Amino acid sequence: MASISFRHVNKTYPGNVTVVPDLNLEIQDKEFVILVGPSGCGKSTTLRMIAGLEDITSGELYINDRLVNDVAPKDRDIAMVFQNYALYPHMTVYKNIAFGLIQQKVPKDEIDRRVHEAARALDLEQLLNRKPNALSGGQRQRVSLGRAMVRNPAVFLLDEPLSNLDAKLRTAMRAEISRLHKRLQTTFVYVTHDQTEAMTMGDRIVVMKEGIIQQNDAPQVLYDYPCNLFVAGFIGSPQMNFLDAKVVKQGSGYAVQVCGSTVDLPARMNEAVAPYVNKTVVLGIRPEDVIAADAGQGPADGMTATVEIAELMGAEISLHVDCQGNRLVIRTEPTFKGREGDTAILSFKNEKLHLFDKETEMAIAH
Amino acid sequence: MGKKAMRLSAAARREQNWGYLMIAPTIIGLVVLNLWPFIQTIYTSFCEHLGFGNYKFIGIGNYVEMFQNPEVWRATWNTILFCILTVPVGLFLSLLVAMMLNAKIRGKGAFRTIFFLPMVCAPAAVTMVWRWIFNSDYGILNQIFGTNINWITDSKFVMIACAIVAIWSNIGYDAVLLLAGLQNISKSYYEAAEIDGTSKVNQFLQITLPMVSPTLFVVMIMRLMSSIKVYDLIYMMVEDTNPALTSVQSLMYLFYRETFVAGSRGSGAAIVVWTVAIIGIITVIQFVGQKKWVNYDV
Repeated sequence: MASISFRHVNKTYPGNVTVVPDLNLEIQDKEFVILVGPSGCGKSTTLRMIAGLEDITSGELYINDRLVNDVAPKDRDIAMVFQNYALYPHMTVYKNIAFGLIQQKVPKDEIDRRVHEAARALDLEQLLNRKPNALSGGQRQRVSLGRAMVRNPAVFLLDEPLSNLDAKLRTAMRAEISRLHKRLQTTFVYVTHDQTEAMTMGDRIVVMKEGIIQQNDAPQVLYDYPCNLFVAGFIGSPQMNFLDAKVVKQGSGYAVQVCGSTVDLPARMNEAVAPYVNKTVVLGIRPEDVIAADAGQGPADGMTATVEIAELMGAEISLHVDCQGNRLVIRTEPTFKGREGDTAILSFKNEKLHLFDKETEMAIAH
Repeated sequence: MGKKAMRLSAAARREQNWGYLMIAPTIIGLVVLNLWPFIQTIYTSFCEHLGFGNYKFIGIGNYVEMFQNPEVWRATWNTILFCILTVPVGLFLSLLVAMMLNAKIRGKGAFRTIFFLPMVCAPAAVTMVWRWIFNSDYGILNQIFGTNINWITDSKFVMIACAIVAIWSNIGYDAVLLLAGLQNISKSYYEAAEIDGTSKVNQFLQITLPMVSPTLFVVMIMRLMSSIKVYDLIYMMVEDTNPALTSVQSLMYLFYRETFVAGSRGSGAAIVVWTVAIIGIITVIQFVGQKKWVNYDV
């Protein structure tokens, strides 16, 4: 059990390539924190700095209030699960799980007890004598989790552990890792580029871009109140729709002109949008917050759009529409009958609108 | 459906014929240059050469004579000793060099070139340089160690001298092959081991060695075969008149002397067949033994 603290941590590679310029992050004991961002955002480097596999150029890293900048990986009381599993192909599952304990010269009986305990927990008992090549992707990932588990580490580090699995298995393993965290009550730091993993598993999500933390909050907060365009676009699938909109004064409140229509803004935004009157801002609206109606059934002041693609998902329909030259993705009820080429009447759920500054890309109001 | 299947099989046949046509030059070359001469060698080993391309079948006469000849047994032992001296040491050093070249060091490209250089040098030139290094009066080796050893003419040292040259000549090539094997080992294995607290020695023994073993096995077979067939190096290092020749004369060198110096082609052919038999036995042993140490689960 451990807390982790990054204080002004910088990572610069030879050739003056700065991957992480100035990282400040506190991870609490027993927390499940997800580092998420696109490729090259510095999330894996951050994780590897915790593991001690990357040197810290400057700044301080503490694990449990102990400065670990110069502490060897083996002395940090951590375990890591790798993207490619890193299972030794010439060793059996048993030997792979026991490997770390053998290195630490743990007594044989104790090794045996711990390996069997982990194998039981991960449903690997039947596979202990097999070699990794004879296992499926999911089984291999469970072995690598087992290898980390038996060491009873204070911190679990997971580097994109589900990337090599197919979609169905990924869903199953997501639940398994979440269960594991609840059972072990240990600090988990999990790196992924998959926002679904981030949203479903973590207590807290740290969204990174170019080595800089964009937002660091609970999943639902991130979803409802993204601090900038990047976070708004990164979190959520399908991603938020962005439209250029002009802010206008409308009676005692404000509205935006978008897609040839005027949409009232909720009163709570008044103060924030006042400086933007007659200026163009970016309006963000999530696909599920756009209401689509078949022609002749929508509100009179609705926006007229043409359906380009209608993807039938069973429980919902994913519509790709063209609204006055703007492309939008909409999640709507299966009762919507329009198909390719048909007209749809759109309206936005006003209380779900997000406004962003066009230049700074920062959120103006939610 | 049936018609389509027939058309398809005709296309497959055409493809097959094209395949045969494509490999024909290599196959013809192998048969003309390798297989047929080998069959002829076996036949010649049962004949006496009468001169002007005439042979008389004499049964196992050449073999009886060969096994009664102490020079053949000495050459056999010399060949085995040469293998013992060059293969394990050569492999060990090649692996060491490969690991150094695989590590994070400055000027890696330059080092790779330097180590590979002996491979592209003409063997005759290499041997000449080494003969100077081994020279008992002016050689740098004796100068450095302050010794006065007759490296090439003393029967106690000539084999070591030849082995040193052979190892030096091959390290670069073997190291490049092993380097390719090492580079196939994912870095994450070592990182996982480091987190587990595995020492560098244990990382080598428990990760590097098992995972590079298939490449190591291939290099070992290649090196062993070329060591058994060693001829040119000894020919260039040691002259006919050298008193230490018998201490280093290999089977292939003896074959050359029997066939082309003494003109006894039948006896020479018998020596070749004997060498092939030794290679065969050793190869079988290696392939049986590899099951114990070569790991193909990579």
